[in-house]
Amino acid sequence: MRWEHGSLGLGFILLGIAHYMGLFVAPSDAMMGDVGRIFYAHVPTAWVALVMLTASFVGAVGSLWNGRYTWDAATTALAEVGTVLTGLLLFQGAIWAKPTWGVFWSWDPRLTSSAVLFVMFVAVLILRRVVDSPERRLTVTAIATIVAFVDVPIVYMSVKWWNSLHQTPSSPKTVSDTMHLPLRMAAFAMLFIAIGIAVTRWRTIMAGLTLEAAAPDLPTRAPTLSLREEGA
Amino acid sequence: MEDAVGQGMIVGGWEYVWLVYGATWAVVVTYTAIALSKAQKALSPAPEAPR
Repeated sequence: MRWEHGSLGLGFILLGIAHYMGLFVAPSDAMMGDVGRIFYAHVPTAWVALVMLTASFVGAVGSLWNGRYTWDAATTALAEVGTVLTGLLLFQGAIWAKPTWGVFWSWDPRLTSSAVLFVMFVAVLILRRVVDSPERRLTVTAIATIVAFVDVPIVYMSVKWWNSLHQTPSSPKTVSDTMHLPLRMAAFAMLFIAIGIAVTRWRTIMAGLTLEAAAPDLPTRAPTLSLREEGA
Repeated sequence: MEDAVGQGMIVGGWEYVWLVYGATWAVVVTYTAIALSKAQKALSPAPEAPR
């Protein structure tokens, strides 16, 4: 048993407790009634999706800097988890929009920028699969991730920069005290689950890269990208 | 919540709540299972080739 399995187990236990509280213990929303309980599923998913994609950006900059495949694998694993969570948050948001806005979808700045984010990171993952050379794949993945990441701050700031149907960013400061515990617990639960999956995927991707590197004509790292060593 | 009827407020809507929570659990459980399954295959030592 590896430590990421513990992270996954803890995450699922916390998520069960948080969702139970969100569904049955927390009071219904003053304006939205029981539909407001979607909050405890949707908001933590959105937070953790953006955290994963931001971590993926850090991994991309790191892999360009040092040319190490372990950073390349981390970038990919984090981008994959962030993309899945972004897809999930779009679905959750569409379902929440129907009873509150009357439509599943609106070309609102927050929704549109989130959809663009999802499409861009899907493109990153597809692009990675079509590049055969490991060195070239590292470079392409990193650059594509950095380009796609540009949309993350736009998603976050969209509700502040433009008129939006979507509410401004939620935090424990913007909600009633009775909502704090399930919200925080669900956020940590999603974070633990996301970290557990990302580390599991990183190990899997690294195993694949190691197999590739075992071929005699493949280097174990990208020589053209060892910027730090070349400058030293 | 009956006071809310006709006041422009949302009443009920549990079907949307269950759909979102159900989808959330379905995605995280399925994704975790796939990730663990792929990891098990990738990280377990390859069987020796028959001689």
